[in-house]
Amino acid sequence: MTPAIDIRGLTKRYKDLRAVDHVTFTVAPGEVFGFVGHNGAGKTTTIQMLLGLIRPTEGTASVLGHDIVTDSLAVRRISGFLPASYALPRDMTPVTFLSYVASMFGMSGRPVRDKIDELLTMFGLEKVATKKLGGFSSGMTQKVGLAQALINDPKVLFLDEPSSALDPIGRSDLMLHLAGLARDKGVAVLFSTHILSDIEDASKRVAILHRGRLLAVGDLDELKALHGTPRMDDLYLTLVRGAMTGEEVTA
Amino acid sequence: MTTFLGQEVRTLLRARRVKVIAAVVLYALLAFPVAMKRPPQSVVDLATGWFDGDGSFTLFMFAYLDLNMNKVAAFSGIILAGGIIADERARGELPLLWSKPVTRTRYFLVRLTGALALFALIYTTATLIGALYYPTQVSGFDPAVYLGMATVHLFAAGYAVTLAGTMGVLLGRKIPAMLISLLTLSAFVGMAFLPFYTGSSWLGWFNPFYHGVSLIGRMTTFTPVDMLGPIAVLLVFHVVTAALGAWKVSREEQ
Repeated sequence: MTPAIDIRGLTKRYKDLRAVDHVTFTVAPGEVFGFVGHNGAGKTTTIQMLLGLIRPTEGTASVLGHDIVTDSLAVRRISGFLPASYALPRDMTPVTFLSYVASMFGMSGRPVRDKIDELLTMFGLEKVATKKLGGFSSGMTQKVGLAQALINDPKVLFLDEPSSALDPIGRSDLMLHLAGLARDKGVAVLFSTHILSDIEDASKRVAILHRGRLLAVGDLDELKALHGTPRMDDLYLTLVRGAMTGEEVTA
Repeated sequence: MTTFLGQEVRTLLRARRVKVIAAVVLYALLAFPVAMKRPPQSVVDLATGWFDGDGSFTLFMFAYLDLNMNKVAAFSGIILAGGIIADERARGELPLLWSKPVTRTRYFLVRLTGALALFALIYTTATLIGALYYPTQVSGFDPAVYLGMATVHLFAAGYAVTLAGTMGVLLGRKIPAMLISLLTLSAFVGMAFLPFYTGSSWLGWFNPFYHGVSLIGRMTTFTPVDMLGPIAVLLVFHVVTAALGAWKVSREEQ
């Protein structure tokens, strides 16, 4: 079976800085994959490379068989993306904004209106569907952001820190949505976070990134057993502290 | 891309700045004959000497193009297109929009084309209202000549949109880009009739606004075929300028 995401030796260098350093992993269709690392670890750079928004310095990657460099528009056509940091047009409403995003996929007419209705219902936005986005709270903005990522029924979903602006109920709902999308529609979800409890709730497999390098990738329970750490945050701290000690020794 | 362009025009139609532009154009259109009610004979004679045609209608067309529509075009173009990409960048909307299956170059061109289409809609509507209103206000008004000249002028006026949109992406920041667009367009507008005053047509070769008003030199004789030359030149101005903007945006791609 073609992996939803297949990354081999992906590297991004900015002069002397290795933002992402030979990262390799795969994500299967229907899998919710956790991409963990602190701020500046290289998660966002990796996701941006996968969407063809920045060009890798080395390595290859594909999304459902589409090369991220030579076929990036095809990648974006089958993907949904929620950036870590973004704003929505203040003068638009959820309905007009979602219509606008749909038009960028070439979608129009009745199917778009139905899809928008479905998404508004899914995220509980029906009552604010015609209100200006400028007045929305960060949690509401995040819901519209998630809705736009799903407008094209993506087969692969890239979510960069999706839960950071959400309250506990919103985060719980989000994890349920992600699980449902993966289970019911076979959507592969790559979601990056530094909130470790989200990973335990949502993902079976994870990749842990530190200063651009992959410290571990695999089944979360197996990784915890391998390193003798019962919880995700213990696993993460063990690996990161080990890497930092190694860096100090090297230095 | 037609779906995206259609949605872009619909989005612009709802924008507050478009309503302001439409109101300003309408005001300028309706108030203009009042300002031109009793021009001094010396001014009428001057216009007849510079251009072609009989006194009052020639002066009306000169003032209509120079004082009215050229100024409105420069203002509208900057307001409509001066913030393309620069606005979204400043507001933090680009990370989301550029992750969609549209290249940055195409995104720029669709936004610019949308602004041009909307400007053309406002301009054409205003022109048609003028064609109905001015015969009751201006002696010797010739609707056919007015429509012919306005058709050519539309392409020059629209150039303000293309220039402002391109300047926005060339400079990357909205306010400096708008100021430079304003200076450039003011210079173009200010010198649009210079070839008529001096008798040296080469002074207007690189000024799109001169090509937009050039038919005023043969108001009584021009035919529809004569309109094609200036329109073709103006299309070249549009294409070259938009290509420059597209080139700049494409350099940001990956």
